[in-house]
Amino acid sequence: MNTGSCTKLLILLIILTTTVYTQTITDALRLGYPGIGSSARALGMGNSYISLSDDATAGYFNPAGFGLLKRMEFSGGLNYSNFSNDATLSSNGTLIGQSSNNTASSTTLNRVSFAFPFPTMRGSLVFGLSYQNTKDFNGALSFNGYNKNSSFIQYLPSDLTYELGLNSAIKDAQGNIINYTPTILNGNLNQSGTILNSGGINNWTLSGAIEVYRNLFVGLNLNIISGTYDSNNDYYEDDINNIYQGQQTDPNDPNTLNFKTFYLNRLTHWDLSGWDAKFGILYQFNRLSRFGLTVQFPRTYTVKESFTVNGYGQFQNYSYPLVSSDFSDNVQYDIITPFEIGAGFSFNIRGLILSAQGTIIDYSQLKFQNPDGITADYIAGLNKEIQTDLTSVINYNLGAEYTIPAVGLRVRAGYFVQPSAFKGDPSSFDKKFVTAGLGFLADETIDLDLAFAHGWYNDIGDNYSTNLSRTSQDIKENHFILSGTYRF
Amino acid sequence: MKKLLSIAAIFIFLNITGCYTIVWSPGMDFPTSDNSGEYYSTDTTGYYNESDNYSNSNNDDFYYAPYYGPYAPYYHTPWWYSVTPPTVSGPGYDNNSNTIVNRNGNANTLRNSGDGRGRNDRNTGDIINTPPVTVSSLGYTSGTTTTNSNSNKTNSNTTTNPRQNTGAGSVRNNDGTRNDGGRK
Repeated sequence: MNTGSCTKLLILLIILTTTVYTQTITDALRLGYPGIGSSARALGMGNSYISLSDDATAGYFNPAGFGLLKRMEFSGGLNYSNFSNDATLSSNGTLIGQSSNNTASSTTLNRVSFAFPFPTMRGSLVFGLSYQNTKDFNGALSFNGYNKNSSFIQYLPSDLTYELGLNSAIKDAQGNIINYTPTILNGNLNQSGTILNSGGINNWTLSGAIEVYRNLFVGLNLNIISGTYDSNNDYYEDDINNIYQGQQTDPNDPNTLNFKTFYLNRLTHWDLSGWDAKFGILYQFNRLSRFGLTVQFPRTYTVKESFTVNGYGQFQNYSYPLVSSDFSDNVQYDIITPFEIGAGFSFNIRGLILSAQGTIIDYSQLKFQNPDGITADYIAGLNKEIQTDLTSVINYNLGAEYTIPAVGLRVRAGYFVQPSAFKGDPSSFDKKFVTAGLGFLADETIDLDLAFAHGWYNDIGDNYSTNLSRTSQDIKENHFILSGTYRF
Repeated sequence: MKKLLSIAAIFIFLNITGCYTIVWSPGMDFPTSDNSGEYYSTDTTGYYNESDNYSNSNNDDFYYAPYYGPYAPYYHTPWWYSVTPPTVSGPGYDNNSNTIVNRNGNANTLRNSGDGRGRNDRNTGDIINTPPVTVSSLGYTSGTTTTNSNSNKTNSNTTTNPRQNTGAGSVRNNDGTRNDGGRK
């Protein structure tokens, strides 16, 4: 290979390593996965509520359920969520660290709802207005391990690592940088970090339902979406075994002698807005059972993203900080979620209600659109990746409720599964929840409900590239919802 | 756009098929537990015509009282059953209250009648006459007589970077496959 070919190859490699990657499938799935809702009664029954939905939370589950309301309702609730993540770090399938635990929790006012049934001579016409938290982005991750095989520094843009003193530049006769050399830091470093996620999605929901035939209700709602998402990602690589002592990471810069630490902090902030609509049908077979069907139209989220990078390269006698403005930016894009079609059935026998439902979601139809600050090519590639890597799933929910009429007490239990959206994931990656709940009615007017849900599942995450620095995560979630309802 | 059209189609569908529901309007008798049943009269079997103290069509009640106790009225008693219906007074109506009905179309309260100072048109119009307010466990009833009116790692040594590069780049996610530390 002649010198010209080598130069072209080097330039190509540099271009490849500095390719501007922005969003990932993870970002789309964050918005695509369903939340746990904001109804204590529903959660206590495993959110198997499409065929019930006879309260002011119907806008979330099945807007047709509003048609079942005969009294005005004012209700609200609080949510407490706790997220725990035990993670281990591996490289090419080999464990390289001990398990690290990180937790996050949040408490939110998750819903305020009002429903108004119009006086009717026959049938039902009900409108509802609700403000509800439909999803929280609570998350946490810590990892720590010694990676002999690779370094994040190898996979960062060369101009960024040059600012940190981690590689050198090739300059022309006038001293202008024309290229960069690869870093010598290629492994044998201790990798550690934490990721904390927070935020959530809130909906203003306007709903209406009408009884179009005896015991057949149809409903529609319109959601105005708002929300935020914040991620704080700290990442360290330390030369704890002095592998790079006596070496300069930039041969032309003596200050880069004796590398100690590489640190990178990435802050991502989303301002979310959007809208969607949901259509529902509910039919009641006498007093015995109900059947519900819902069509969730694709949600359109507009994401205004602020991305901030900080970091430094620490050497024995010198530190090179990153100039944040060089690599931070603001972009905007839309994420479109797929249709969700759900069907549920509930059976009522002597005070016991059994309920089951399934919801089809084809995650391969998630889509990025309307990029501003991101190249159309990249978005197209990402959408293709979504189609390749994601699949359709059926979420299913099971629930039961028994009423003790003498004391106005209701006890509930439920179970639901949200399968992983990734093709080929084992069942341990499916989100599984067991739920329980209690309800108490006072004076035929005030209803208090409490629900608890415990979820568990596995996940993986790559710090860079694929399977070179991978966290295997054992995640547990706990949710408490307390709801109060006043009917008058 | 397709989504908007779909939603519009559903709205149109609802409007066309929503005729089963009869919403009360001021020109109709106010719906009560006694009179709502007549609108179910197309049911020749009488299946839906039963009446009790919490619903007039309780065979449809999902929360049947023997098994659900207080939840039955909680779910099935319409709020308007606990409201004494407003009555509309107008020509030809006499509600046995302290009003004078003028068959010629003018209604005057006793206070304003016969003193020679009032103008007939100051008290014209319908009188809405509702009973006194009382509060019950299920709601309230209204009732004032109303006359119509019009009213751990630290950075060190330097704070500037002589190696600053002006070229923009990104370090968000350098692979795109399940990266950035987690998929949540």
